[in-house]
Amino acid sequence: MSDDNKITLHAFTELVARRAKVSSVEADTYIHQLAKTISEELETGGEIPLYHFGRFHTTHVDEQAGHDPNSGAPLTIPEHSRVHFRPFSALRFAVNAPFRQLRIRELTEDKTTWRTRTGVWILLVLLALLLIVLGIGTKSQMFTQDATVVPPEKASAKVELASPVYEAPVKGAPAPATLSTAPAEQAIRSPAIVAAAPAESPPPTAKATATVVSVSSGDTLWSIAATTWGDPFWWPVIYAENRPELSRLNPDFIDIGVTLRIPALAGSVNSPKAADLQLKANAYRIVADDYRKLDNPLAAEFATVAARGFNK
Amino acid sequence: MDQAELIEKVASELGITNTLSQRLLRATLREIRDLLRVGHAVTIPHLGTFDTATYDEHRGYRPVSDDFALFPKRRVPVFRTGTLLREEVYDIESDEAGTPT
Repeated sequence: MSDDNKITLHAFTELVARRAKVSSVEADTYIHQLAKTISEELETGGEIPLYHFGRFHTTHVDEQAGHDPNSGAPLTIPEHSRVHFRPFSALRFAVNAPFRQLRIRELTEDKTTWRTRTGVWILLVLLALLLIVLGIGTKSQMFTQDATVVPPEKASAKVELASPVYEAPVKGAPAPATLSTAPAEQAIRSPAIVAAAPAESPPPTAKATATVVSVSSGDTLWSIAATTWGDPFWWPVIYAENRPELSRLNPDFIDIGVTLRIPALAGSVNSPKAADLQLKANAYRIVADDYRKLDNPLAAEFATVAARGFNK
Repeated sequence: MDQAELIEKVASELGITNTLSQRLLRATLREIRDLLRVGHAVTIPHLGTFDTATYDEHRGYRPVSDDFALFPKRRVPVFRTGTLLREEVYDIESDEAGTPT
């Protein structure tokens, strides 16, 4: 406390009067009365909180031993009460305004300061997002490989390729676009023959002058029909002709080395006779039958084509 | 006694309205605050002195980090009780628990 920064009561009263827009006499009276009221309240032991300013209160001090500062003689300080003023934070901040920017500095290095740095958090979040995106990417790639890139019949066919077997995916005539064949399941033989027996009765008429083709690697019924006749859509005729010799009873799979008999047609592919069309319809029906046994969805299309017949 | 009661009591003793009393109280407190902010000391008769104290940068214990830290320079408001008030309050009775009655 130094006297040079003290302000006189008169000046203070003037300031209060100007601020409250009252006369200085009123302000002076008020300040005196205020002090008197506060001290009376404190004398009764009460406390006075003042908003955004501070709190006056009293505390009790027990009896304690002390010294007379002049003589050094011990004396007993009796128990008493004393007044305290606790400034509230609004007043504290206002007074500390010149040094507001200063911060407490740790003497030992703080290893947790990175938590308060936003850059670190942003970096971590970006890293996590990157990992998530990468994970999603690899996962979707795995799923596409499973679902579309390798259809199930290819996957199962690759297993069978261990033995010298060639699988020949044949495009269906009505819908050549999609081809999804169930794995080659060994069909029950007897109903197939029963079903195929009436259908195979007509072919023997055309079997007289049959040519023979040996299946080599890369051949399909589709390609054989295309090379021998020039029209791949006649492939079911070849299948129906050779069906008793084919062990798989699957129109989509023929084994390498098997010799296929190519039935001789009454007319030609481009100008077929009625018997040839009948043959073709029967062949489609047989193929539809086999597909149905294999649970191949193409069966329905083949069946409808067979039921519609060929009228060219 | 809270602030509203103080305002009412002072108003009744001076014979002024509560509004005016409140305005004067606010003006007084804000004036004290503004004077402390610029570093002045204010003495209220019969009550005491509002002053500021400046603490230099010092080393101290910081419970948050359970370690010693370097506290920056700061300025705090202080109140020194006036002699009259101190002596009036000195003798007030208090019960066994230390709470003033």
